[in-house]
Amino acid sequence: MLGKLLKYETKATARIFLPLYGALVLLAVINRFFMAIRPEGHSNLAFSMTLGTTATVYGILIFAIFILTFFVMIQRFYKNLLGDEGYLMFTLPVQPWKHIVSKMVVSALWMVASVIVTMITVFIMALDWEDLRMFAEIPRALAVLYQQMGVHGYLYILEFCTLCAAGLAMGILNIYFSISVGQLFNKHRVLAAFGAFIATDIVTNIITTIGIWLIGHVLDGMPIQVGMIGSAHLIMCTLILYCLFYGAAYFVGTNYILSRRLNLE
Amino acid sequence: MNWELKSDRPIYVQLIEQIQLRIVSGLYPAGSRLPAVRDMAAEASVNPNTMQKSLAELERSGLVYTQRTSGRFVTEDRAMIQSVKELLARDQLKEFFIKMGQIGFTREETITLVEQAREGEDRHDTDLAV
Amino acid sequence: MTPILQCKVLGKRYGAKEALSSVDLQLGRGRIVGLLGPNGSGKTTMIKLASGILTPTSGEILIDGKAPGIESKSLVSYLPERTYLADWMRVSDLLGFFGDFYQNFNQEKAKEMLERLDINPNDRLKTMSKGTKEKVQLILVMSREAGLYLLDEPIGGVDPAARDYILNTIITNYSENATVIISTHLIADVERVLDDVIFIASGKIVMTSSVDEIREEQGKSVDELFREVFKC
Repeated sequence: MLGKLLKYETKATARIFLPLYGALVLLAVINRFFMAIRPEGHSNLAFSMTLGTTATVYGILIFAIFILTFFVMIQRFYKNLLGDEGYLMFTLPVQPWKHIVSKMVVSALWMVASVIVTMITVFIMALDWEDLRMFAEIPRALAVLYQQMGVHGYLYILEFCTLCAAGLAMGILNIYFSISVGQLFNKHRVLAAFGAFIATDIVTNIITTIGIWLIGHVLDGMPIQVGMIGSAHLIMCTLILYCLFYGAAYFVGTNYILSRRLNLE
Repeated sequence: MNWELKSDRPIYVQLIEQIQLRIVSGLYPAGSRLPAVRDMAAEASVNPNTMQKSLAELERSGLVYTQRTSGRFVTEDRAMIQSVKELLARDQLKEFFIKMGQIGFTREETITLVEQAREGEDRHDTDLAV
Repeated sequence: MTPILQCKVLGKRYGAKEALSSVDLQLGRGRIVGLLGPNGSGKTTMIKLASGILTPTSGEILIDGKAPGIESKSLVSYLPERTYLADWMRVSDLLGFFGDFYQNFNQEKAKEMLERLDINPNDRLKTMSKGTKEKVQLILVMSREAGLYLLDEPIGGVDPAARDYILNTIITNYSENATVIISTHLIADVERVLDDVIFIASGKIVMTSSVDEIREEQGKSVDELFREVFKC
C-alpha cells in the first residue's frame, strides 16, 4: 500500500512541478542562446533589455519553485489529509504512518529535485563544453581525498549526505507535527498550527540545552582523547543523532494524532 | 401500472396486493416468469428485503412458486387466479358498500344506484352511436 | 454471527459539547437502516465514528467485531456529506485509485453505471457540476462490494429525479449480506427503502424499530411518527 500511496502522491505533485521545471529549463536555454549571440563590444539597448527580462523571469521562477516546494509540502499534508480529501484518505485501508511517510518522502524528493534542476539550469547557462570535463575530474578528486584522509574522507561524505537527509526529514516532520497539533483544535486551526510550531521550537531548545549540559557533565570527568579527525566525526554523528531523535519524536507524535486523535472538520 | 403505496399500512402488505393485482389483470400472466426480486424492488422503489417478504407470502398462498434454478413463476392454476380475482373484487365491493353506507345509502339503494348509473352509461353510449 | 455494527456505551464530545452519549446499538446483516434525526442530532458523528475518521471519547464501536482499523476500512464503504475527491483528477484516475486501494472495488460495475449516466471517464472533476460530482462519488462508493455502507445524507440537496436515481442505485447495488446505513432527515423519501429505523436526538438513541412494525403497531408512516416524536 505504501507503494501505491507514493505513486498517487507523486502523480498529484508532479503535475505542479514538472511544468515548472520544464519552463525553467526552457528559460535557461533561451538565456544561454541570447548570451551566445550577444554582440561583442558595443551595447545594444533592445538586446540588453530582452536578455535582462528573460534573466529576471528565470530568477523569479527559481524563487517561485522554492517557495512552491515548501508550500506544496504543507498544502499536501493539510489539504489532502486534514481537509475534505482526508475523508477519502483516512477511509482507505492504510495505516496512518504510511500516509506520513509517503507525503514526507515525496516532498523531500521534490526539494532535492528542485535543487538538482536549478543546478542543471545554471550549468546550461554558464558552462562551456570544456567545463563539462570537470565532471570527469570527480573520480580523481575522490582519489585525492582518499590519499589525504583515507577512508575518513568517504565517511565524511556519507555522514554529510545522511545529515542532509535526516535534517530534511526532521524539518518536514516538524511542520507535519505542528499542523497535526493544529487540527486538534476545533477553531483557528492554522493559527494553532503556528502556535504549535513555535512551542515545539521552544521545547526542543530546552531539551537540547539540558541534553548538552548533561552530556557535557558526564563526559567532563572522562579521560577521552579525540583528535581532529575523530572530533569531526563526533560532531557529524551528534548532529545526525540530533535530527534523528527529533525527527522520530515528531513522527511518533504525528502518527499518534492521526491514528488516535483524528478530528476532521 | 404504477406501484401505489400508501403511508399508513405495512409496505409488504401493500406489495402483496399490488402483485396480486398485476397477476389477475394479466400483466404477469399465468405461468410466466416474474422479474428478479431486485428488479421488482427497484421498479417499486422499495427495499429488496420487503419485496422478498411479500413474494414469500405469495408463495405460501400458492399464487407464485419458485423453481430452484430458473426463478420465480406465476402459478399455472387459472382457477386459483380466478378465485384471487374474485376475492379482490369482493374486497372492493365490501369497501364500496361501506363507503356508500357512510354517505347514507342502504345496500339496496346502492345497487339501484349502480343499475341506474349503468343504464345512464348505456344511454350515453347509444347517444354517442347516433 | 457477529453483528456488522455494534456500539457499546459509545460517546463522543467535542470540547464541552456532547455529540453522542452512551449509545448502545447492534445492527444485523442484509438490512437497510435509516439513521433518522433532526439536524445536529449526532447522525454524522455516529457515521464518522463507524468509518474510523473520528475516535470515540468513551465506550467503543465495533465493525464486524473489531475496532475501526485497516480491516474495518476495507469492509466499510463511506459516502460523506461533502465531496472528498480531488478536483484535478479524472474519473478514470479515480477508478484506478479505488481499484488500487480497495480489493472489493468492482471496476466494471462502476464503468457501467457511469456510462448509463453519460459521464465520460476522461472528464476532470473540475469541469463537473456539483450534482454530477455527487453522483460520481455515489457510484464509486456503491461499486464496492462492501459489508457495510455508510451513506451520510445521500439525498440532501438534490432534485427529485436525482433522488430517485440515488435510491435506486442504492437498492440495486448493495450486496446481499451487506448492511446499508442511510442518515437523513428527509424521511418520506427514503421510507420505502428502509428495513429498520433508528431515531436519534441530541446524541441519544430515542427508538429503534422496523418500518413494518411502526406501520403495523402505530398505523402511521415513519415520517408521521418522526414528526410527532420530534415536534418542536
